[in-house]
Amino acid sequence: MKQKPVLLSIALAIAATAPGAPPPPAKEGAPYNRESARKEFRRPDTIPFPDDNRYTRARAELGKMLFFDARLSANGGISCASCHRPQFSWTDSAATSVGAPGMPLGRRSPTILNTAWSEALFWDGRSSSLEEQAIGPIQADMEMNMPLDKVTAMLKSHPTYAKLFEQAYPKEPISGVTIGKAIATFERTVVSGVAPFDEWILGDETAISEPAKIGFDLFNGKAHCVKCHSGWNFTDDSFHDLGFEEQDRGRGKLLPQIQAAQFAFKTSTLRNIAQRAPYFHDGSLRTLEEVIDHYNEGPWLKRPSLAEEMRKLELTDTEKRQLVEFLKTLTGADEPVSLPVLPN
Amino acid sequence: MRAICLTVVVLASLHAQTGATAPLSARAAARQKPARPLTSFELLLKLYHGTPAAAAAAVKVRGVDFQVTPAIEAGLVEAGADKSMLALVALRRQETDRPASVAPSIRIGAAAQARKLLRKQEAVYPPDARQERGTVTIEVVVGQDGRVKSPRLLTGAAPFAAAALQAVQSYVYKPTILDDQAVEVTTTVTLEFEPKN
Repeated sequence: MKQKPVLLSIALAIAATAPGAPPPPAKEGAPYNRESARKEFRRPDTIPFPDDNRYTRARAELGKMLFFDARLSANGGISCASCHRPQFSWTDSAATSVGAPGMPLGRRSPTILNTAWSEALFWDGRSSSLEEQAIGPIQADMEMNMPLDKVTAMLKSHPTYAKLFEQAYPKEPISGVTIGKAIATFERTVVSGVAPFDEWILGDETAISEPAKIGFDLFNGKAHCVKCHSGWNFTDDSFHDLGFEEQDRGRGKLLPQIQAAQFAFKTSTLRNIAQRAPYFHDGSLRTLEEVIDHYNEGPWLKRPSLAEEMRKLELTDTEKRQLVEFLKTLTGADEPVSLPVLPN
Repeated sequence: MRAICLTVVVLASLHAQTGATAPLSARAAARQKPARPLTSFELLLKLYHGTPAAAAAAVKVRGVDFQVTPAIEAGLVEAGADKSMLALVALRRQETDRPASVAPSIRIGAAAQARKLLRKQEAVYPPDARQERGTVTIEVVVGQDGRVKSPRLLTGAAPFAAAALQAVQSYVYKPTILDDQAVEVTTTVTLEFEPKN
Protein backbone atom coordinates (compact mmCIF):
# COMPACT_ATOMS: atom_id res chain seq x y z
CA MET A 1 0.00 0.00 0.00
CA LYS A 2 2.70 2.40 1.01
CA GLN A 3 5.23 1.76 -1.73
CA LYS A 4 2.77 2.11 -4.56
CA PRO A 5 2.95 5.89 -5.01
CA VAL A 6 6.74 5.76 -4.94
CA LEU A 7 7.03 3.08 -7.59
CA LEU A 8 4.37 4.80 -9.61
CA SER A 9 6.19 8.12 -9.51
CA ILE A 10 9.42 6.49 -10.64
CA ALA A 11 7.60 4.76 -13.44
CA LEU A 12 5.92 8.02 -14.41
CA ALA A 13 9.20 9.90 -14.28
CA ILE A 14 10.90 7.38 -16.51
CA ALA A 15 7.98 7.27 -18.87
CA ALA A 16 7.81 11.06 -18.96
CA THR A 17 11.50 11.57 -19.60
CA ALA A 18 12.16 8.76 -22.04
CA PRO A 19 9.21 8.00 -24.23
CA GLY A 20 9.38 4.47 -25.47
CA ALA A 21 12.30 3.62 -23.20
CA PRO A 22 12.37 0.03 -21.96
CA PRO A 23 11.18 -0.49 -18.40
CA PRO A 24 13.94 -0.41 -15.80
CA PRO A 25 15.72 -3.73 -15.40
CA ALA A 26 14.47 -5.99 -12.63
CA LYS A 27 16.54 -5.56 -9.48
CA GLU A 28 18.09 -8.34 -7.51
CA GLY A 29 16.57 -9.29 -4.18
CA ALA A 30 13.72 -7.39 -2.58
CA PRO A 31 11.88 -4.81 -4.65
CA TYR A 32 13.14 -1.28 -4.17
CA ASN A 33 11.27 0.84 -1.69
CA ARG A 34 12.20 4.45 -1.18
CA GLU A 35 11.16 4.53 2.47
CA SER A 36 13.25 1.54 3.48
CA ALA A 37 16.17 2.82 1.38
CA ARG A 38 16.04 6.10 3.30
CA LYS A 39 16.69 4.27 6.56
CA GLU A 40 20.06 3.11 5.28
CA PHE A 41 21.34 6.68 5.25
CA ARG A 42 20.76 7.85 8.80
CA ARG A 43 23.69 9.68 10.31
CA PRO A 44 25.42 8.18 13.33
CA ASP A 45 24.99 9.84 16.73
CA THR A 46 28.64 10.25 17.62
CA ILE A 47 32.13 10.28 16.16
CA PRO A 48 34.13 7.11 16.85
CA PHE A 49 37.45 7.72 18.61
CA PRO A 50 39.79 4.78 19.27
CA ASP A 51 40.30 3.70 22.88
CA ASP A 52 44.00 4.51 22.84
CA ASN A 53 43.35 8.01 21.54
CA ARG A 54 40.08 9.31 23.01
CA TYR A 55 39.01 12.84 22.23
CA THR A 56 40.05 15.68 24.49
CA ARG A 57 39.93 19.34 23.60
CA ALA A 58 43.67 19.65 24.31
CA ARG A 59 44.41 16.91 21.77
CA ALA A 60 42.16 18.32 19.07
CA GLU A 61 43.52 21.84 19.50
CA LEU A 62 47.12 20.66 19.40
CA GLY A 63 46.35 18.53 16.34
CA LYS A 64 44.77 21.49 14.59
CA MET A 65 47.89 23.59 15.19
CA LEU A 66 50.14 20.85 13.82
CA PHE A 67 47.81 20.42 10.84
CA PHE A 68 48.14 24.09 9.90
CA ASP A 69 51.82 24.54 10.86
CA ALA A 70 54.17 24.74 7.86
CA ARG A 71 57.18 24.39 10.16
CA LEU A 72 56.51 20.67 10.02
CA SER A 73 57.93 20.71 6.47
CA ALA A 74 61.58 20.76 5.42
CA ASN A 75 61.32 24.04 3.56
CA GLY A 76 58.95 25.58 6.09
CA GLY A 77 56.51 26.31 3.30
CA ILE A 78 53.80 23.66 3.37
CA SER A 79 51.56 22.15 5.97
CA CYS A 80 48.91 19.42 5.89
CA ALA A 81 46.44 22.20 5.15
CA SER A 82 48.31 23.18 1.97
CA CYS A 83 46.76 20.22 0.20
CA HIS A 84 43.79 19.64 2.53
CA ARG A 85 42.26 23.09 2.47
CA PRO A 86 39.12 23.75 4.46
CA GLN A 87 37.77 26.03 1.74
CA PHE A 88 37.98 23.24 -0.86
CA SER A 89 36.20 20.66 1.29
CA TRP A 90 39.56 19.58 2.77
CA THR A 91 41.27 18.79 -0.51
CA ASP A 92 42.73 21.28 -2.96
CA SER A 93 41.66 22.69 -6.28
CA ALA A 94 44.34 21.02 -8.41
CA ALA A 95 43.86 17.71 -10.22
CA THR A 96 46.94 16.35 -8.50
CA SER A 97 48.53 18.20 -5.65
CA VAL A 98 51.88 19.90 -5.66
CA GLY A 99 54.43 18.58 -3.18
CA ALA A 100 57.44 20.09 -1.46
CA PRO A 101 59.66 21.80 -4.00
CA GLY A 102 56.94 22.46 -6.57
CA MET A 103 56.81 18.79 -7.48
CA PRO A 104 53.50 17.55 -8.86
CA LEU A 105 52.33 14.45 -7.03
CA GLY A 106 50.87 11.36 -8.62
CA ARG A 107 47.42 11.48 -7.12
CA ARG A 108 44.80 13.96 -6.05
CA SER A 109 44.64 14.99 -2.38
CA PRO A 110 41.92 12.92 -0.77
CA THR A 111 39.60 14.85 1.52
CA ILE A 112 40.01 14.40 5.26
CA LEU A 113 36.27 14.89 5.68
CA ASN A 114 34.64 12.04 7.65
CA THR A 115 37.86 10.04 7.83
CA ALA A 116 36.94 9.21 11.45
CA TRP A 117 34.93 6.38 9.91
CA SER A 118 37.63 5.14 7.51
CA GLU A 119 39.34 1.85 8.13
CA ALA A 120 41.91 2.25 5.39
CA LEU A 121 43.53 5.56 4.55
CA PHE A 122 45.13 6.88 1.34
CA TRP A 123 43.76 6.15 -2.12
CA ASP A 124 45.39 2.71 -1.94
CA GLY A 125 44.51 2.03 1.71
CA ARG A 126 48.12 1.57 2.77
CA SER A 127 47.47 3.00 6.25
CA SER A 128 45.10 1.32 8.62
CA SER A 129 44.69 4.24 11.02
CA LEU A 130 44.53 8.01 10.88
CA GLU A 131 47.31 8.12 13.47
CA GLU A 132 49.62 6.22 11.15
CA GLN A 133 48.44 8.08 8.04
CA ALA A 134 48.95 11.53 9.52
CA ILE A 135 52.71 11.22 9.82
CA GLY A 136 53.16 9.75 6.31
CA PRO A 137 53.07 12.94 4.23
CA ILE A 138 55.19 14.78 6.81
CA GLN A 139 58.06 12.41 6.07
CA ALA A 140 57.47 11.75 2.36
CA ASP A 141 60.33 13.27 0.37
CA MET A 142 57.94 14.47 -2.33
CA GLU A 143 55.69 16.13 0.23
CA MET A 144 56.67 17.79 3.49
CA ASN A 145 60.01 15.98 3.42
CA MET A 146 60.72 16.21 7.15
CA PRO A 147 62.31 13.21 8.93
CA LEU A 148 60.43 12.30 12.10
CA ASP A 149 63.41 12.83 14.39
CA LYS A 150 63.76 16.38 13.09
CA VAL A 151 60.06 17.17 13.62
CA THR A 152 60.21 15.64 17.08
CA ALA A 153 63.34 17.61 18.02
CA MET A 154 61.80 20.84 16.74
CA LEU A 155 58.61 20.33 18.78
CA LYS A 156 60.47 19.24 21.92
CA SER A 157 62.64 22.34 21.88
CA HIS A 158 59.65 24.60 21.33
CA PRO A 159 58.40 25.76 24.76
CA THR A 160 54.74 26.22 23.74
CA TYR A 161 54.44 23.00 21.76
CA ALA A 162 56.25 21.08 24.54
CA LYS A 163 53.67 22.37 27.01
CA LEU A 164 50.72 21.59 24.74
CA PHE A 165 51.96 18.03 24.17
CA GLU A 166 52.33 17.63 27.94
CA GLN A 167 48.69 18.69 28.40
CA ALA A 168 47.39 16.52 25.57
CA TYR A 169 49.45 13.37 26.20
CA PRO A 170 50.80 13.72 29.75
CA LYS A 171 52.23 10.21 29.99
CA GLU A 172 53.71 9.96 26.52
CA PRO A 173 56.85 11.58 25.10
CA ILE A 174 56.70 13.78 22.00
CA SER A 175 57.21 11.35 19.13
CA GLY A 176 55.80 10.32 15.79
CA VAL A 177 53.15 8.46 17.77
CA THR A 178 51.84 11.47 19.67
CA ILE A 179 52.16 13.77 16.65
CA GLY A 180 50.05 11.30 14.68
CA LYS A 181 47.56 10.95 17.53
CA ALA A 182 47.07 14.70 17.92
CA ILE A 183 46.59 15.31 14.19
CA ALA A 184 44.25 12.31 13.95
CA THR A 185 42.13 13.66 16.82
CA PHE A 186 41.70 16.96 15.02
CA GLU A 187 40.94 15.20 11.74
CA ARG A 188 38.21 13.09 13.36
CA THR A 189 36.35 16.27 14.29
CA VAL A 190 36.24 17.28 10.62
CA VAL A 191 32.81 15.98 9.77
CA SER A 192 30.43 17.07 7.06
CA GLY A 193 27.60 19.20 8.38
CA VAL A 194 23.93 18.37 8.24
CA ALA A 195 22.80 18.57 4.62
CA PRO A 196 19.35 19.01 3.05
CA PHE A 197 19.54 15.27 2.38
CA ASP A 198 19.82 14.59 6.12
CA GLU A 199 16.81 16.78 6.82
CA TRP A 200 14.89 14.75 4.28
CA ILE A 201 16.06 11.55 5.96
CA LEU A 202 14.79 13.03 9.24
CA GLY A 203 11.36 13.39 7.66
CA ASP A 204 11.22 16.88 6.14
CA GLU A 205 9.70 16.23 2.73
CA THR A 206 10.34 19.81 1.65
CA ALA A 207 14.08 19.67 2.33
CA ILE A 208 14.99 18.42 -1.16
CA SER A 209 13.37 18.76 -4.57
CA GLU A 210 11.30 16.15 -6.39
CA PRO A 211 14.00 15.65 -9.08
CA ALA A 212 16.51 15.06 -6.26
CA LYS A 213 14.22 12.42 -4.74
CA ILE A 214 14.00 10.68 -8.11
CA GLY A 215 17.78 11.01 -8.27
CA PHE A 216 17.94 9.19 -4.94
CA ASP A 217 15.81 6.39 -6.40
CA LEU A 218 18.15 6.18 -9.40
CA PHE A 219 21.16 6.20 -7.09
CA ASN A 220 19.74 3.15 -5.33
CA GLY A 221 18.29 1.56 -8.43
CA LYS A 222 19.02 1.92 -12.11
CA ALA A 223 22.40 3.64 -11.66
CA HIS A 224 23.34 1.30 -8.78
CA CYS A 225 25.75 3.89 -7.31
CA VAL A 226 24.80 2.54 -3.88
CA LYS A 227 26.67 -0.70 -4.59
CA CYS A 228 29.83 1.10 -3.50
CA HIS A 229 28.65 4.49 -2.21
CA SER A 230 26.65 3.00 0.62
CA GLY A 231 25.54 4.21 4.04
CA TRP A 232 25.31 7.71 5.50
CA ASN A 233 28.90 8.48 4.45
CA PHE A 234 28.34 7.11 0.94
CA THR A 235 31.34 4.81 0.82
CA ASP A 236 31.96 1.11 1.28
CA ASP A 237 35.51 2.02 2.35
CA SER A 238 36.72 -0.41 -0.28
CA PHE A 239 38.67 -0.32 -3.55
CA HIS A 240 37.49 -0.66 -7.14
CA ASP A 241 38.91 -0.46 -10.65
CA LEU A 242 36.77 2.05 -12.55
CA GLY A 243 38.45 1.47 -15.90
CA PHE A 244 40.67 4.54 -16.22
CA GLU A 245 43.57 4.05 -18.60
CA GLU A 246 46.68 4.57 -16.50
CA GLN A 247 49.91 3.17 -15.12
CA ASP A 248 49.05 3.61 -11.42
CA ARG A 249 48.04 0.21 -10.07
CA GLY A 250 46.60 1.74 -6.86
CA ARG A 251 45.74 -0.90 -4.30
CA GLY A 252 47.41 -3.42 -6.61
CA LYS A 253 50.85 -2.07 -5.67
CA LEU A 254 50.26 -3.37 -2.14
CA LEU A 255 48.48 -6.56 -3.18
CA PRO A 256 50.11 -7.60 -6.46
CA GLN A 257 48.61 -11.11 -6.43
CA ILE A 258 45.02 -10.03 -6.02
CA GLN A 259 43.34 -9.40 -9.34
CA ALA A 260 40.53 -7.18 -8.08
CA ALA A 261 43.03 -4.86 -6.37
CA GLN A 262 44.80 -3.90 -9.59
CA PHE A 263 44.08 -0.31 -10.63
CA ALA A 264 41.66 -0.14 -7.73
CA PHE A 265 41.28 3.05 -5.67
CA LYS A 266 39.32 3.84 -2.59
CA THR A 267 35.65 4.73 -2.86
CA SER A 268 35.32 8.40 -1.94
CA THR A 269 32.68 9.73 0.36
CA LEU A 270 30.04 11.68 -1.55
CA ARG A 271 29.39 14.07 1.32
CA ASN A 272 29.90 17.67 0.09
CA ILE A 273 30.92 16.15 -3.23
CA ALA A 274 29.72 19.16 -5.23
CA GLN A 275 32.46 21.20 -3.52
CA ARG A 276 35.25 18.81 -4.38
CA ALA A 277 35.92 18.95 -8.12
CA PRO A 278 37.93 17.69 -9.93
CA TYR A 279 37.07 14.06 -9.28
CA PHE A 280 38.72 10.65 -8.87
CA HIS A 281 42.18 9.76 -7.65
CA ASP A 282 43.83 11.52 -10.57
CA GLY A 283 41.47 14.48 -10.71
CA SER A 284 40.78 13.62 -14.33
CA LEU A 285 37.08 14.50 -14.45
CA ARG A 286 36.05 18.08 -13.87
CA THR A 287 32.33 17.98 -13.13
CA LEU A 288 29.70 15.72 -11.59
CA GLU A 289 28.15 15.47 -15.04
CA GLU A 290 31.41 14.07 -16.43
CA VAL A 291 31.59 11.62 -13.52
CA ILE A 292 28.10 10.34 -14.25
CA ASP A 293 28.91 10.08 -17.95
CA HIS A 294 31.94 7.96 -17.06
CA TYR A 295 29.81 5.52 -15.08
CA ASN A 296 27.05 5.63 -17.67
CA GLU A 297 28.99 4.77 -20.79
CA GLY A 298 32.74 4.75 -20.21
CA PRO A 299 35.13 4.49 -21.92
CA TRP A 300 36.50 1.83 -19.58
CA LEU A 301 39.63 -0.14 -20.15
CA LYS A 302 38.39 -3.72 -20.12
CA ARG A 303 40.92 -5.57 -18.01
CA PRO A 304 40.48 -8.49 -15.58
CA SER A 305 40.39 -6.16 -12.57
CA LEU A 306 37.58 -3.93 -13.91
CA ALA A 307 34.79 -3.75 -11.33
CA GLU A 308 31.86 -5.89 -12.42
CA GLU A 309 29.52 -3.00 -11.63
CA MET A 310 31.00 -1.11 -14.57
CA ARG A 311 28.40 -1.72 -17.25
CA LYS A 312 26.33 0.54 -19.42
CA LEU A 313 23.57 2.21 -17.40
CA GLU A 314 21.56 3.77 -20.24
CA LEU A 315 20.60 6.79 -18.20
CA THR A 316 18.61 9.45 -20.03
CA ASP A 317 19.72 13.09 -19.90
CA THR A 318 16.91 13.83 -17.45
CA GLU A 319 17.98 10.97 -15.22
CA LYS A 320 21.55 12.24 -15.24
CA ARG A 321 20.32 15.66 -14.16
CA GLN A 322 18.22 14.07 -11.41
CA LEU A 323 21.29 12.25 -10.13
CA VAL A 324 23.26 15.51 -10.05
CA GLU A 325 20.37 17.20 -8.24
CA PHE A 326 20.47 14.43 -5.67
CA LEU A 327 24.25 14.67 -5.24
CA LYS A 328 23.94 18.41 -4.59
CA THR A 329 21.64 17.72 -1.64
CA LEU A 330 24.60 16.10 0.11
CA THR A 331 26.32 19.45 0.61
CA GLY A 332 26.16 20.15 4.32
CA ALA A 333 26.12 23.28 6.41
CA ASP A 334 29.58 22.60 7.82
CA GLU A 335 30.74 24.23 11.00
CA PRO A 336 32.87 27.25 10.10
CA VAL A 337 36.61 26.64 10.40
CA SER A 338 38.71 29.11 12.32
CA LEU A 339 42.44 29.03 11.81
CA PRO A 340 44.48 28.16 14.89
CA VAL A 341 46.80 30.71 16.41
CA LEU A 342 50.21 29.17 15.94
CA PRO A 343 52.89 29.62 18.60
CA ASN A 344 55.87 31.71 17.51
CA MET B 1 27.01 63.65 -4.70
CA ARG B 2 25.30 61.77 -7.44
CA ALA B 3 28.52 60.04 -8.34
CA ILE B 4 28.92 58.83 -4.80
CA CYS B 5 25.39 57.48 -4.73
CA LEU B 6 25.98 55.77 -8.02
CA THR B 7 29.13 54.13 -6.71
CA VAL B 8 27.26 52.86 -3.72
CA VAL B 9 24.55 51.40 -5.89
CA VAL B 10 27.07 49.77 -8.20
CA LEU B 11 29.00 48.34 -5.30
CA ALA B 12 25.84 47.06 -3.74
CA SER B 13 24.76 45.35 -6.92
CA LEU B 14 28.25 43.97 -7.44
CA HIS B 15 28.12 42.60 -3.97
CA ALA B 16 24.75 41.08 -4.66
CA GLN B 17 26.15 39.38 -7.73
CA THR B 18 29.51 38.23 -6.51
CA GLY B 19 29.15 38.14 -2.76
CA ALA B 20 28.75 34.39 -2.73
CA THR B 21 25.32 33.37 -3.91
CA ALA B 22 25.23 30.31 -1.66
CA PRO B 23 25.08 32.16 1.68
CA LEU B 24 22.45 34.50 0.25
CA SER B 25 20.21 31.66 -0.85
CA ALA B 26 20.89 29.87 2.41
CA ARG B 27 19.74 32.97 4.23
CA ALA B 28 16.65 33.14 2.04
CA ALA B 29 15.93 29.52 2.86
CA ALA B 30 16.41 30.25 6.53
CA ARG B 31 13.86 33.02 6.29
CA GLN B 32 11.30 30.67 4.79
CA LYS B 33 11.72 27.95 7.38
CA PRO B 34 12.26 28.37 11.08
CA ALA B 35 15.56 26.87 12.19
CA ARG B 36 15.18 23.15 12.69
CA PRO B 37 15.99 21.82 16.17
CA LEU B 38 19.57 20.62 16.58
CA THR B 39 20.39 16.96 16.04
CA SER B 40 22.76 15.33 18.51
CA PHE B 41 25.43 15.33 15.85
CA GLU B 42 25.14 19.04 15.21
CA LEU B 43 25.47 19.75 18.91
CA LEU B 44 28.49 17.49 19.02
CA LEU B 45 30.16 19.38 16.18
CA LYS B 46 29.38 22.70 17.84
CA LEU B 47 31.12 21.45 20.96
CA TYR B 48 34.09 20.19 18.98
CA HIS B 49 34.56 23.32 16.93
CA GLY B 50 33.28 26.12 19.11
CA THR B 51 33.01 27.04 22.75
CA PRO B 52 30.60 25.39 25.22
CA ALA B 53 28.93 28.80 25.61
CA ALA B 54 28.25 29.04 21.88
CA ALA B 55 26.90 25.50 21.84
CA ALA B 56 24.59 26.30 24.78
CA ALA B 57 23.37 29.41 22.96
CA ALA B 58 22.52 27.28 19.91
CA VAL B 59 20.60 24.82 22.11
CA LYS B 60 18.65 27.69 23.65
CA VAL B 61 17.75 29.24 20.32
CA ARG B 62 17.01 26.16 18.24
CA GLY B 63 16.02 23.50 20.72
CA VAL B 64 17.01 19.87 20.25
CA ASP B 65 15.56 17.01 18.29
CA PHE B 66 16.89 14.05 20.25
CA GLN B 67 16.62 12.16 23.50
CA VAL B 68 19.87 11.88 25.43
CA THR B 69 20.64 8.16 25.23
CA PRO B 70 23.65 6.83 27.14
CA ALA B 71 25.66 6.70 23.89
CA ILE B 72 24.80 10.27 23.01
CA GLU B 73 25.51 11.43 26.55
CA ALA B 74 28.93 9.77 26.47
CA GLY B 75 29.70 11.49 23.18
CA LEU B 76 28.55 14.89 24.41
CA VAL B 77 30.48 14.59 27.67
CA GLU B 78 33.64 13.61 25.81
CA ALA B 79 33.19 16.62 23.54
CA GLY B 80 33.07 18.88 26.57
CA ALA B 81 29.43 19.03 27.68
CA ASP B 82 29.06 19.51 31.43
CA LYS B 83 26.06 18.78 33.68
CA SER B 84 24.44 22.14 33.03
CA MET B 85 24.64 21.55 29.29
CA LEU B 86 23.00 18.12 29.64
CA ALA B 87 20.28 19.64 31.81
CA LEU B 88 19.71 22.38 29.24
CA VAL B 89 19.42 19.77 26.49
CA ALA B 90 16.87 17.78 28.50
CA LEU B 91 14.86 20.93 29.19
CA ARG B 92 14.85 22.11 25.60
CA ARG B 93 13.95 18.62 24.44
CA GLN B 94 10.71 18.92 26.39
CA GLU B 95 10.00 22.39 25.12
CA THR B 96 10.77 21.77 21.50
CA ASP B 97 7.61 21.25 19.55
CA ARG B 98 8.24 18.74 16.86
CA PRO B 99 6.56 19.86 13.65
CA ALA B 100 3.78 17.48 12.64
CA SER B 101 5.58 16.45 9.47
CA VAL B 102 8.49 15.11 11.51
CA ALA B 103 6.34 12.68 13.51
CA PRO B 104 6.50 9.33 11.76
CA SER B 105 3.24 8.84 9.97
CA ILE B 106 1.91 6.33 7.48
CA ARG B 107 -1.33 5.78 5.61
CA ILE B 108 -3.19 2.52 6.05
CA GLY B 109 -6.22 1.31 4.12
CA ALA B 110 -9.63 1.34 5.78
CA ALA B 111 -10.06 -2.43 5.90
CA ALA B 112 -6.60 -3.12 7.30
CA GLN B 113 -6.89 -0.45 9.95
CA ALA B 114 -10.41 -1.61 10.93
CA ARG B 115 -8.95 -4.95 12.00
CA LYS B 116 -6.89 -3.11 14.62
CA LEU B 117 -9.94 -1.56 16.24
CA LEU B 118 -9.91 -2.39 19.96
CA ARG B 119 -12.76 -0.33 21.31
CA LYS B 120 -15.55 1.76 19.87
CA GLN B 121 -18.88 3.35 20.63
CA GLU B 122 -21.52 2.48 18.04
CA ALA B 123 -22.80 5.45 16.09
CA VAL B 124 -26.32 6.44 17.05
CA TYR B 125 -28.86 6.81 14.28
CA PRO B 126 -29.73 10.52 14.37
CA PRO B 127 -33.33 11.10 15.46
CA ASP B 128 -33.78 13.92 12.96
CA ALA B 129 -32.78 11.78 9.96
CA ARG B 130 -36.30 10.90 8.87
CA GLN B 131 -35.79 7.20 8.23
CA GLU B 132 -33.26 7.81 5.46
CA ARG B 133 -30.10 5.84 4.78
CA GLY B 134 -26.76 7.59 5.03
CA THR B 135 -23.09 6.95 4.38
CA VAL B 136 -20.32 9.00 5.96
CA THR B 137 -16.63 8.76 5.20
CA ILE B 138 -14.19 10.31 7.63
CA GLU B 139 -10.45 10.63 7.43
CA VAL B 140 -8.85 10.09 10.82
CA VAL B 141 -5.36 10.45 12.16
CA VAL B 142 -4.69 7.77 14.75
CA GLY B 143 -2.07 8.90 17.23
CA GLN B 144 0.93 6.85 18.31
CA ASP B 145 -1.14 5.74 21.34
CA GLY B 146 -3.90 4.35 19.13
CA ARG B 147 -6.43 7.08 19.93
CA VAL B 148 -8.15 9.13 17.26
CA LYS B 149 -6.60 12.57 17.05
CA SER B 150 -8.21 14.58 14.29
CA PRO B 151 -11.24 13.29 12.42
CA ARG B 152 -12.06 15.12 9.20
CA LEU B 153 -15.27 14.74 7.23
CA LEU B 154 -14.74 13.62 3.63
CA THR B 155 -18.29 12.84 2.49
CA GLY B 156 -21.68 12.54 4.17
CA ALA B 157 -24.86 14.50 4.82
CA ALA B 158 -25.26 16.72 7.85
CA PRO B 159 -27.27 14.74 10.43
CA PHE B 160 -25.26 11.57 9.85
CA ALA B 161 -21.92 13.36 9.72
CA ALA B 162 -22.28 14.74 13.25
CA ALA B 163 -23.23 11.34 14.65
CA ALA B 164 -20.40 9.64 12.77
CA LEU B 165 -17.79 12.16 13.90
CA GLN B 166 -18.89 11.74 17.49
CA ALA B 167 -18.65 7.96 17.28
CA VAL B 168 -15.25 7.96 15.58
CA GLN B 169 -13.81 10.16 18.34
CA SER B 170 -14.25 7.20 20.71
CA TYR B 171 -12.36 4.68 18.56
CA VAL B 172 -9.24 3.17 20.05
CA TYR B 173 -6.93 1.17 17.80
CA LYS B 174 -4.01 -1.12 18.47
CA PRO B 175 -0.97 1.13 17.92
CA THR B 176 0.90 0.55 14.66
CA ILE B 177 4.55 -0.31 15.15
CA LEU B 178 7.07 0.31 12.42
CA ASP B 179 10.73 -0.45 13.12
CA ASP B 180 10.12 -0.76 16.86
CA GLN B 181 8.48 2.65 16.93
CA ALA B 182 4.81 3.53 17.23
CA VAL B 183 3.73 5.64 14.28
CA GLU B 184 0.80 7.87 13.47
CA VAL B 185 -1.65 6.36 11.05
CA THR B 186 -3.88 8.17 8.60
CA THR B 187 -6.85 6.12 7.46
CA THR B 188 -10.50 6.43 6.47
CA VAL B 189 -13.56 5.16 8.28
CA THR B 190 -16.87 4.66 6.50
CA LEU B 191 -20.06 4.41 8.53
CA GLU B 192 -23.43 3.27 7.18
CA PHE B 193 -26.62 4.49 8.80
CA GLU B 194 -29.83 2.55 8.37
CA PRO B 195 -33.22 3.24 9.93
CA LYS B 196 -34.07 0.71 12.64
CA ASN B 197 -37.34 -0.55 11.16
